[in-house]
Amino acid sequence: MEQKSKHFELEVESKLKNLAIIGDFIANAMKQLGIEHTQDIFKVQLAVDEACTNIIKHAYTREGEGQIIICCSLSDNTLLVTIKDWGKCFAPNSVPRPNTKAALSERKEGGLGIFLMRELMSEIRFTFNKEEGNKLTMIKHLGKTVR
Amino acid sequence: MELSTSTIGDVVVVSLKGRIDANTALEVEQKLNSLILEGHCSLIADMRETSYVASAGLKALLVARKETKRKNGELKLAELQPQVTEILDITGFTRLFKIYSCVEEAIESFK
Repeated sequence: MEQKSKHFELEVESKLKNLAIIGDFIANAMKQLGIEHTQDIFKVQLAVDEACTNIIKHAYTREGEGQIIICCSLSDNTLLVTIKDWGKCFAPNSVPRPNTKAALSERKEGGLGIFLMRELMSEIRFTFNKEEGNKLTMIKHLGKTVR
Repeated sequence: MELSTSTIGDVVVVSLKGRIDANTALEVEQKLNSLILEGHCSLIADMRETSYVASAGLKALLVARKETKRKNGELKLAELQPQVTEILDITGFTRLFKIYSCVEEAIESFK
């Protein structure tokens, strides 16, 4: 993990086994940024996990095909996480919101990844660029838990 | 991720230890599915040591919940950690599963 004045960066191969490493990176970076509220750390870990799972399973054609770069920084009690990949782009708004009130027989088994990212973070933005890579920006406004 | 099972009468308790993410969810799904195929349809997921559940893990639990119901059984959840409970709340899964504060209570509920 590289630190440049409270800026943390991790580059990993797009493999599912790296999800645990990504989760540890987020937890360690947030702790070093002074964020100690375990619920905040858990929520950001999960949102980043879902984003990276989508990249590994859908943006890249096969596991380990490309790289993922995750950056994490803090400014004015706002956590900024950016995730870059060089896989296929997609239309995030075309992914239907799951019906979380559906009865068991009606409940679909997938489609929770982007929903969780939106629920757990304050803001998420996708930008797609073939040359420079795709960038997901995730913002989390934090309470008074930062040192 | 560590999986272990114990059988109490007709009830099988599956202990899920560690992270259930997209890398480990398949193992959970396969374990639950194999138990159901063997005829064990009264299942309890003991989640006291489940630190983390991503959407792939939720999917594995939902698949088993539906499959046990189809066979007149049920998958119940026990001893969820607070952060896992919150994710189940957000996704509406607390409406789909019976959740118990301790495994013994979940076992008793099958009697």
